[in-house]
Amino acid sequence: MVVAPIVEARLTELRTLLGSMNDRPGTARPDNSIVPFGRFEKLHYARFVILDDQTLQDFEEYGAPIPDFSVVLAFLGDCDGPADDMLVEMARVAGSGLRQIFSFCRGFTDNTDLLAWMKDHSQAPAANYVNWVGRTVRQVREEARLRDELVACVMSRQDEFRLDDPPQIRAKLLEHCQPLLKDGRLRLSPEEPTPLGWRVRNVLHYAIVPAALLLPWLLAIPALDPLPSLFSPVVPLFGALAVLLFVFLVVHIPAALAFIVALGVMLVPLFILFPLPIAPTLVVVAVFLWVLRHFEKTEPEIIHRPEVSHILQLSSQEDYDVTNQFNALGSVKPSRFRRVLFVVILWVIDYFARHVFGRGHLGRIRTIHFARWVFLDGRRRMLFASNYDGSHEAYMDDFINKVGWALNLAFTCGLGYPRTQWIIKGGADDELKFKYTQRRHQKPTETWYRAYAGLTVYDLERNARVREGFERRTMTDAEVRAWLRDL
Amino acid sequence: MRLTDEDYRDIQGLVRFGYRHLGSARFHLLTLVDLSAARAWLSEAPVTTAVKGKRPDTALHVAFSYDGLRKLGGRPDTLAQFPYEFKSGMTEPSRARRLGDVNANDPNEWQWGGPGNVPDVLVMLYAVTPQRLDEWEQQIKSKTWGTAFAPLACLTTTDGGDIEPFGFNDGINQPVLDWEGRNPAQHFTTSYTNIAALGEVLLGYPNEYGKYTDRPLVTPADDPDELLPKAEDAPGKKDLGRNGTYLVFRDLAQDAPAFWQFVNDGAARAREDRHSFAADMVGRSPAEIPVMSGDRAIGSYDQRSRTPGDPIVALGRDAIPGVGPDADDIRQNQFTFHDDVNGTACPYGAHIRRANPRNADLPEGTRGLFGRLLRILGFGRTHPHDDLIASTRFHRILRRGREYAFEATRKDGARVVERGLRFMCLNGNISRQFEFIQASWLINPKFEGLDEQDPLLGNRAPLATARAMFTRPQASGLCSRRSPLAQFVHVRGGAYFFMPGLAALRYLARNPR
Repeated sequence: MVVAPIVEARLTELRTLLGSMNDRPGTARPDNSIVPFGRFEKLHYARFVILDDQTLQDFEEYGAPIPDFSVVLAFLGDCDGPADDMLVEMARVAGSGLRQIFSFCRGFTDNTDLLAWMKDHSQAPAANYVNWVGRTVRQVREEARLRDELVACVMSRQDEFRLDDPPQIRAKLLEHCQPLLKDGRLRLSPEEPTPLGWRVRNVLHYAIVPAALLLPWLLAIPALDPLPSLFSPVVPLFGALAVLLFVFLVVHIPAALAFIVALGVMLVPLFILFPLPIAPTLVVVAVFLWVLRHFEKTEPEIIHRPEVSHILQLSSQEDYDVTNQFNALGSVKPSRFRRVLFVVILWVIDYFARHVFGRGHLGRIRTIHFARWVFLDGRRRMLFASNYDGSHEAYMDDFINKVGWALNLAFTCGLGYPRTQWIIKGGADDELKFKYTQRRHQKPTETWYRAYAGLTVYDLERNARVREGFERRTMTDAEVRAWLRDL
Repeated sequence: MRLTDEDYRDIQGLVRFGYRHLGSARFHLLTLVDLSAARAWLSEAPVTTAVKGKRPDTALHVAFSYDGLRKLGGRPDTLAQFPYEFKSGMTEPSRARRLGDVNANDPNEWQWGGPGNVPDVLVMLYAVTPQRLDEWEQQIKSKTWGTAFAPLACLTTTDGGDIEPFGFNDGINQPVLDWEGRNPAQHFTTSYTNIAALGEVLLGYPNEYGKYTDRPLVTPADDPDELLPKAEDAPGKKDLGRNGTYLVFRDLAQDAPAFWQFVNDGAARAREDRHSFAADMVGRSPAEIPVMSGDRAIGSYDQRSRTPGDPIVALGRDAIPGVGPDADDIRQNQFTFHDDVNGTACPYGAHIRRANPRNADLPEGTRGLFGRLLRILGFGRTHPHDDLIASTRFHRILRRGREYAFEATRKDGARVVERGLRFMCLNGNISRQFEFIQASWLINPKFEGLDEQDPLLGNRAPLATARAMFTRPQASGLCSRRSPLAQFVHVRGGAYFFMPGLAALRYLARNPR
């Protein structure tokens, strides 16, 4: 994400320029002349958003001075491969358009080196979520095309297929596609290998939590000589328990998570062997909880209904397609406690989004393509941006009813969020308060691009299944039936 | 939150009763002309209450659009407290797009309710017979009526015996309201219930979240005559919303010949009887199958294997809260779609499966602490469709529609029968209930991973990948598809109304300043 303050006197002019890229309110023409998003084959989603916070008077209600945040332009994109590579390509392909846009930002002149400037103004997300790590734009398009072809074939040959058994139907469908694959009308590119560097970094990043769980053991090594008398009965017992738990859990949840839980179990014997640190640990936890509750109880709850004109502006950009965009801008509650807590929480969300939830769902939510949390202005405020399926109301209901607890976790430190208890309780349980708050903090997009209109997360997942089944050498009858169900 | 006798005397009877015994009904859409005459009429109107007793042979109900309330002259800061969707109305362009009111359903073409054509007041009249209805209407239209209101439209209905124009029983499943407040708000339910919190329909009571839906509250100073009840959740405030509800009105024209032509062709093509083909589209057995000229259907299609109105999925063994004890109700409603995960018994796209997916907060069958934890974190899925659909209990409506049919002369002079439904539903939160069902379930082309809209109500508006078709999963695995699907239902009018409690009605009529 590239962020830079705008020359405020020229705000209207910038809005007009960005709006000229659209063919519908808020939606970009893929081949617009300013930033022809459609020419970037690795770009999933992109948008320009102007971040001018209209809710800053909330600070007054909180009893804090109103901060003087500048109005900033944010340029967000979700792409395959490293973000820097995308910036290079953007600067090359759409350099003049981008220069035109960024010339509205403070300090950007005709002589500014565009690429260096964009990199300078890049802001890494505090937490990032990708629905399916490694699914490329090309893959999405090729698989959608494959399924379309198969469905069209099924529809035109329904009468014939009615008399066939499932394996016969599958054989005929495969046969139908062969000439298309040969002459390139259908294409199924092999998966590109994941760069080694990325994999190493990913494993190292994952290792942080397991390492943290092992750290107490490392610290305890000096005290293990001689071995405490309880060591031989307790440690093997819990070791065996942890292994069993891992074996049981890995059937139900990703191994990355099962491993962490198992390591967590191994902390128990440590406390049995060395009961002394229990007391200080409990004191730290108790103090944290006391401070947390103090803040939760005493912070004013600032809820306002959004203005009618604001909702009208937002909804005028929504529901032209099956996917929509969402941007929410808000301030972090003005206290050091909240700022630190927010950083920790987002680190945890980022960690689990990256290592546990990159396979089709974020908790129970199966409608988010991409989402990110980005701190701005020295972690004093925060932008949440996502691309999701369905209407805004459905998106919010999904959040409240399915992952209300996680929503509370993710936004409890935001100014104007409904009052929570113990971080995860309350909050979004108050449906209307939550809906008012998120809508009021939502910012319209100036322009928004999506590479695959008409495809939901479910579609992408199903199309990948179709392709997988298409390329399989052998299948059981039950598998063939399941495969045909997706057509 | 116990309801007192006073509350039942305050609630308009339509919330509690469907008036099946009152076969005749007529709906007057009115514009306010003379405010003082209107106020006089409103403060004396014998509106029917929800008190149980001897069955009345007539009923009267009154509701207002936001425009109507504004004209009546309530305080601006009071009216501003109504929810956004009620204030901006059914035809606000973004909402119209979301509800599918585009192209042939464009509100600018509506007979009523479109821009500049929104009624102020809706007066609903019911009676046991057409004669009694005429008498009742004479009685209601007292001398002030004519000066008070100008007619915008008068919508007739016919007593179709609860069979809608396509030939299916209508209104078979309704949520049962928890009048006694016996069910406390729950978290993460694991089985479908047909009981809905009172606040899902009536304002001023806890809803399914255990919260009070926002509605206009006034200070005691603004209620000098002490007409309004107290707000349960806001000490010191009076509740303009209590015992009131929102009435969503959609005037739907149904093209029954086109529907049955599609069924005929589809059944012939699939070599099956049209009874089951039509039942697949709706999810229940039809009550009447019209005989059509040029029938090409094959087989003994009029043989009925099921009683009309029965679901096409197998009944569940376990009782469902709010279904029964009436045997017909059990036969028609003791089922969910949980065991039909592949949609082979009832297609995913069948009308009743879309309108009420009959699920719970967590997938049915979630058991034990570990099982719940797995589900809450989004794990433990056993099927691609697992946990795909929003929890039903937050999206229920109480339907109160009536069928109509009348002869009309087309532009080319031909006599035709216009048929359709005066669709009405009651709910406490229009956007979370009616609009969600319409937008996210019925006309959403991506419902349950499909690429098509509701087979009955879809507007067939072209959307990137969706096709105008109807998909039926087969046991063999392959889906049977039929296209193109024409638009069978056209929206001819509609508006959002507030149907106040009687106290609030008197309050509004009094026009406090």
